Amino acid sequence: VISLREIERHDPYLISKKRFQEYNDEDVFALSTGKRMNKALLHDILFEDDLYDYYIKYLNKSTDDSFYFITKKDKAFKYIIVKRKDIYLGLNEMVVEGLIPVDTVHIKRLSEINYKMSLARFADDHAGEDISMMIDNHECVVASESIFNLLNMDVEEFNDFLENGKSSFGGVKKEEFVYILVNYIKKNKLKELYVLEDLVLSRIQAFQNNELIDIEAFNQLLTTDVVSDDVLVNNSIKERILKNVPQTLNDLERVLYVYIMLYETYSYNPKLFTDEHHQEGVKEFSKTFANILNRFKVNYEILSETPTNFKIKFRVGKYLLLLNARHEENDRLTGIKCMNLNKQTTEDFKEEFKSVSKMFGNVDDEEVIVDDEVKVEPEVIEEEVDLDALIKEYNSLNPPKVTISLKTRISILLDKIETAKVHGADALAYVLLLRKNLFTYRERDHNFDYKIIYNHSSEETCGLLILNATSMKENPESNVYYLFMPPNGLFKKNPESAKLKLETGEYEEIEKYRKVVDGKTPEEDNLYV
Amino acid sequence: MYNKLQKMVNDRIESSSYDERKRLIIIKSILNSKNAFLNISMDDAYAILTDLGISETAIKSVYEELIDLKNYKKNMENSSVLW
Repeated sequence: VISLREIERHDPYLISKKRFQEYNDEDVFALSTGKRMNKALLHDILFEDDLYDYYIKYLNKSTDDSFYFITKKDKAFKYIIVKRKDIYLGLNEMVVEGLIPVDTVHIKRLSEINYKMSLARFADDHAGEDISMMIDNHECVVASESIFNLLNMDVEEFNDFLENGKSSFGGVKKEEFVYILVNYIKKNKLKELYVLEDLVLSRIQAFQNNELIDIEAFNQLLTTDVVSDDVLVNNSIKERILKNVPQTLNDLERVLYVYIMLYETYSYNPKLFTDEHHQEGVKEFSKTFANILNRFKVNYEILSETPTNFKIKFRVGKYLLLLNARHEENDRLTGIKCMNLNKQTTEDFKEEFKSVSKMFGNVDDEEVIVDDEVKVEPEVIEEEVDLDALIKEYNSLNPPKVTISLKTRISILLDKIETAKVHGADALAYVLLLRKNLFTYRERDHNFDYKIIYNHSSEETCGLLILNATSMKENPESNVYYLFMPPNGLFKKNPESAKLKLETGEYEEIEKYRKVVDGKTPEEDNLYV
Repeated sequence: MYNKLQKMVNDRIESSSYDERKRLIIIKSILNSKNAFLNISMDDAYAILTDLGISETAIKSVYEELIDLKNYKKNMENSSVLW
C-alpha cells in the first residue's frame, strides 16, 4: 500500500521472508491497551543483537512514532509497521509476565530502551538549550530545563505555581511560559514519541485545554479587519460616547463601556431603532462599534455580515470576545460573549461586565446582555440560506459560460487529496465531497469513481479512486487505480491486482457511502450531457 | 477569502449593469453561507468567480483555496452532504 520509497524514508529494518512470516503469525501477546503484538517480533528486539542495535540507533535519531520492518525480493517487498510505544509496552509487559525469560544482558537492554523512551532522555538530550518563541510579536526565551522542572514538580510545588501571586516563571510571564511549554511539547511530539508519567501527561493535557492557565488568546488576532461602509458609522454618537469614556478604565472596561453605551442608545431609542428600520439599526450599531474598536487599536475579524446580523471576533488582552449583533423582538440588541475555554476567564469577563454595567449603565444588570443563550461557535459562520434555490435563480440569469476540462478537474482533485494530510474519516469523506462538486454526473459515471473500502489485509479503511480519461464503461482496461490512505496520500495500484481484490472481497466496499458517492441523478444534475 | 469576495461583490454592484447586478445580489446572498463553495458544483463556482472578475489565471488557485480541507472540517457538522 505504501511505496518502497516511502518505506525506505523510515529506515526500515531488513528481515528475511521467513522472519516476516514469523512476525505475521498468530502467536500474539495482548497488551494492556487491548492491542495485539507478535511475540516473536518483541522477543527478537531484545534478543537479536543486530536488531537490538538497529532499534537503539532508531530510537536515538528518529522522530517517527513507528518502527518499520521490510522484506524484499527483486522489486517486490512487504513491510510491518509497529508503534514504538507498543514495542515499549509489549516488552515490559511480557517480561513482567515471565513470557520472555531474561538474564542480566536483556534486563540491561530493556532498561536502555525504557530510558530512550522516557521524558528524562529527551530532557538530557536538550539540556542547556534555550527555547525561543514569538508571542504577540515579542520574543520570549526560556531554558529547556525549566519546562521539565515544571512538568515534574511535586504536587504542592505545582499548585503553588498555579495559585500563588507570582506572575513569572523561568524568566517570562507565567502565561507565556505555559504557552511556550505547550508549543514546545507539540513541536517535539513529546506525547507521541515518549512514555510520559500519568501526572505529567495530565498536566500537559490540562495546559493544552486551557484549564489551568488561559493562553488561548496568545498570537491570535494580531492583525485587524477594518470596518467597511464607513458611511454607516454614526459619528455624532461615536464622538459623544468617546468624549465621555472615563480615563480610569482599563482596556476591557473601556470596550465594555462603549458597548453598553451603544447598546442603550440603539436598543431603546425608537428614532434609531424602529421595526421598519431595525436592519439599519443593527448595521449602524455594528459599524460604529467596530469603528471604535479600530480607534482603540483592538483587533477584530469580521465573521459574518448580513443585513440582520453582524458578527465579529475581537480580542482584548486575554479575552477572546464575540459580538453577535442582532435585533430582538423586545427592541434590544444581543449580544456580546466571552469565547475563552477557560472557565475562570469567562467568569472574570462576566464580573467585569456587571461591574461596568452597574457603574455606567442604566440597564438592569440581570438583563441578558451577555449572550449566553445563543450558542454560537466562533468558527461556524453558517447563515441560513437556501443554496440550491439561489444557484437555480443565478443560473437562470445567464451567468458567464465557463468550460472546464476533465484534465483541470482531475488536477484539482489530485492536488487537494495530496494536501489532505490528516488522518481518517475526515479526509476520506472529503474526497466524496470533491467527487460530487468537481465532476458532472457524466464524468462521475465515466471518468471518476470512488469507493470507501475496508482493506482486509491491512485492516484499514481507505479510499479507492478509479480514474479513466475516456470511459470506465467503454474502456475499462484504461482504468487507473489509486488507494488513498490518509495521511500518507495516494498510492497507484496495479489494475489487475486492484480488480481482483475488489472481486475477492479483500477490498470490501462500505456500502452505506455508495449513495453519497453516486451524487445527483442525471435529472437533478443539469450539467449532464 | 470570503471577506475578500464579499468586498469584491460590493465593489462591483455599484458599477454593474442591470442584469449583472441581479446576479451579483444573488452572489452576495450565496456568500453569506460561509462555506458555500463546498456545497455547490465547480461549474457554478467558476461562473460565480468569473462574475466577480477573478481572472482565468487565478481562478483555479482561488477555487482550490475555497474548497480546502480546512474549510471542510469546519463545515463538517453543518453539512448535509455527507455521512
